[in-house]
Amino acid sequence: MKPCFFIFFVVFLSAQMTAVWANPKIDELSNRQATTFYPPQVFEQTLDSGAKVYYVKDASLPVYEISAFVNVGRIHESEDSRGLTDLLTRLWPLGGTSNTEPDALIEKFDNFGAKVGADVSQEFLQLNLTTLAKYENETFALFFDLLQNPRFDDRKLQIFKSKVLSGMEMRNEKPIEVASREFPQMLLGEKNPIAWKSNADTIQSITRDLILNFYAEHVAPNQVTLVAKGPIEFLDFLQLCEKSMLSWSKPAVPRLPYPEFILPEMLPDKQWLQLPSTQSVVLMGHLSVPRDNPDKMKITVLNAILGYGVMGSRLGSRIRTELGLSYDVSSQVSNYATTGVFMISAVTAGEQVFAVLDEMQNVFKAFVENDDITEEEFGNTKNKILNQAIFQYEKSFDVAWQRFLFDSYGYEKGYLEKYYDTLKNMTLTEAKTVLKTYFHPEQLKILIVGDKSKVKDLSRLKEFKLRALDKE
Amino acid sequence: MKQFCLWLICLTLLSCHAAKDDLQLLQHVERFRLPNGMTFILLPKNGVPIFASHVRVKVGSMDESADEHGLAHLFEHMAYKGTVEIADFYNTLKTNGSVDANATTSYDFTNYKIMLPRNKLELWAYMESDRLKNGPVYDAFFTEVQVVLSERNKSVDNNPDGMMMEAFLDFAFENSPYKHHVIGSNAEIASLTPEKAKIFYNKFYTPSRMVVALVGDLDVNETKKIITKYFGEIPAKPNDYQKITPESYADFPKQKTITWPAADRFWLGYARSAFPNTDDTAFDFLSELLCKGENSFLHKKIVLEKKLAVSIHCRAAVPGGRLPSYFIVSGLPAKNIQNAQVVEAIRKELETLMHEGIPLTDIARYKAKLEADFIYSLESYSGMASKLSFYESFAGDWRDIYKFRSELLSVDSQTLQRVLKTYFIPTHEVVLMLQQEGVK
Repeated sequence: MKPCFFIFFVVFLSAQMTAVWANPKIDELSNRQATTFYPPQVFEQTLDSGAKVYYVKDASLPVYEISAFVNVGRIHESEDSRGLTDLLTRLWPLGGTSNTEPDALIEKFDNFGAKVGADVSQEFLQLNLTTLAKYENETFALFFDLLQNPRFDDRKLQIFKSKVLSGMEMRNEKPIEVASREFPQMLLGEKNPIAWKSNADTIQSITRDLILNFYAEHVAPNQVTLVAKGPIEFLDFLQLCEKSMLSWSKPAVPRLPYPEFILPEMLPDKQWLQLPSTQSVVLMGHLSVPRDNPDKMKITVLNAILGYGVMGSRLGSRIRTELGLSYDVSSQVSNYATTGVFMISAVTAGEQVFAVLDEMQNVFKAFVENDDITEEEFGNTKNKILNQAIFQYEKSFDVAWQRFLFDSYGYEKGYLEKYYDTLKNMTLTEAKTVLKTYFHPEQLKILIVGDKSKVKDLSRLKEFKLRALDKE
Repeated sequence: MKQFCLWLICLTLLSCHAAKDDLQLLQHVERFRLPNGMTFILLPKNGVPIFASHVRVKVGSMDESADEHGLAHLFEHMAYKGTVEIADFYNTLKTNGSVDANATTSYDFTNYKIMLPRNKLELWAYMESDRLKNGPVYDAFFTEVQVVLSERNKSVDNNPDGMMMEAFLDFAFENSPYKHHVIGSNAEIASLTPEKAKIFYNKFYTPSRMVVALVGDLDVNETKKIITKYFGEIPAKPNDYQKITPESYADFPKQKTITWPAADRFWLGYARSAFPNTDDTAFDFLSELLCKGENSFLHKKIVLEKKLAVSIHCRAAVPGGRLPSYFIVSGLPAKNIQNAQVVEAIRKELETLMHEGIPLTDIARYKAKLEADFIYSLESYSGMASKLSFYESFAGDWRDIYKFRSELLSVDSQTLQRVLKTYFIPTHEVVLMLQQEGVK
């Protein structure tokens, strides 16, 4: 593969800064010439086994960081085994292999100072290793053994199940955790795999055989991508991987499709979830666009003006800085494969909940309807995003990971650079054309988690459907 | 609260060591002190044109007087409200690409951290020196009081772990400034005023209490010039404020149960010495060996074998290190198990270790883990800035990283046994148990 060098966009940015600061000293110092930066090269290769590799060489430390991503995730769980991938990933690094008992394997990793872990996201399972280069042969062998021959020890599984069940008993202790769990269901529907939640019954029903079968069905070299950074040359790294995966001759398995689901209607709704507490959480939002929407960049900038980050945004400036009503208030947009979610959140004292709710709605409505975004506000937000872009390259592992993720999503080559280029050239007029297309104050679904006994104006409660928490 | 965790992470690293080759990066560290007493630690780290800064001020809630409780933390909030010269401090940083722009206040320190693109170095120096030299404007003081009350509501009043911390400190300490929670009570926060804040700033924000660590794509000579130009203007102030409050350990062991609407949990604490002390490394080592990882001693015995708890955690020094504190073992009992049963089982396991010692293989395993963890941590720009400023501020010299490395290498079973026998005994013990409200 040919090296792909280019001059990073920061070089161009500094010449295009439009912000003019009231303080001339800040104006002068903000516009210093940016350094030319050449991002590290990401090497790609498909191994004989069918597994793909993304690698960045980084010799600054004698350390490897490697993750095996598998093309199956939380969204692929069946309805009656919700929580399976969570248990699988808890058990994976600690549950031994067919060659080594669980405790002996953990001890071996520990003896080399290696860290092994696993994770699950909506679309991927992930096994991770961080190891010192001087132990590469030993720790790679252990890591690939875990990838190819996981044991998912039953004794360990029972322990993890009891931990998960104990965690469920505590999951209504903090209002913010309740709200974060319940609101996606209100927005996306209870049967939507992005929003659904496990319960005691589904956890109890998960057995070692279920986990083994899930793994056998969905994990094979052709569905695995190794993403790594390390101190050696790419070809040497490939040899290490090939050597460790030689014995993995498992036939290819099909990639599961993204599940189809019916989204609820975008109709306004107000629900109150009763939780005895001096704190209330207000969440409001509506559906947004999937990740391949061509207007995603504009939506990102508009959301940043509205509420990205607690301080400095319109929501933060009004509700936290001016009024002191909330420590946490922000908005965010999440983009998935087939849909997206726009959400505004705030945490406040129980007696202030309606004051905060009204302010959130007022700020959002004015943002969409008043057509008052200034060139300065827009330019500052663009500059913030563009100036922060360099931090995408802080960790070399993340550079490789990002490339893998974009390829996996089907994005075009050079996606990130084009993304920032688009932003750099975007005008306020262009951004405003989509404001009313994607932000809808009239469609907000609102959830409050809090204690109605703390509310001052009880008549306001009539606006809400009152709900009780599910008992787990 | 975040800073407290950060402190613990740092303290854990006190016991980490690395092979000489792995510390090569640190050979490039430059340390210098301005005539006003302010210390700077520079670590050039080439690669990406960015830098991280940590401004660590040696003032925490332990330095507050009785009518100032909560002020160190509230002042940290005010520090982002702008100065006379720089009106919109936070947004100016954000627009210029800052990430991780935040501050944390602990019982021992206030730490202002930020990461910026490399071409913003002089901007950073101008802004940071201005707020340290002139202090913030106080126009929005009482609005910020409301924000902090909201923060307390979230992190203590509606958070069982935050509540346990507050209750434990209040129960465990008699006279120590560690007795009160860093954020202050609702009444204490509400009683704070701009006048008190100004006095606090003048008393504690003195250059000799400040250590600044910069890690990143830096030209050392150019950076020194910029630093001298901006931070050299900050006038020296007297730093003779010393609070000495001897702690009383009467009536030990102490035990108390409180009720709260959350699942049962416990804190088992053992009174320990302040930092620096010859036993620091042993405490840090024990914290790892007892609780960190699937095969750690207490996790294996209490969670996996006896199934008395669903989780066990250790912390080497709560709530800080500048004064005598507590080694904490905390956890959540398993279903149908009482807090007291778990606490008793932990005591027995600790006694076993005291008498039988710790196998050499376990000690070697944890040394390997700690060594590796230290090397892994070198990748983070902000993490390194935190470590360097911490060692310099806490131990008086960032090079104590090397000292702690050698101390770690000398940890053996006898040392650990001695520390267990000296501190993990009834006359040092405080137990706080939370029993779920309405459940017998």
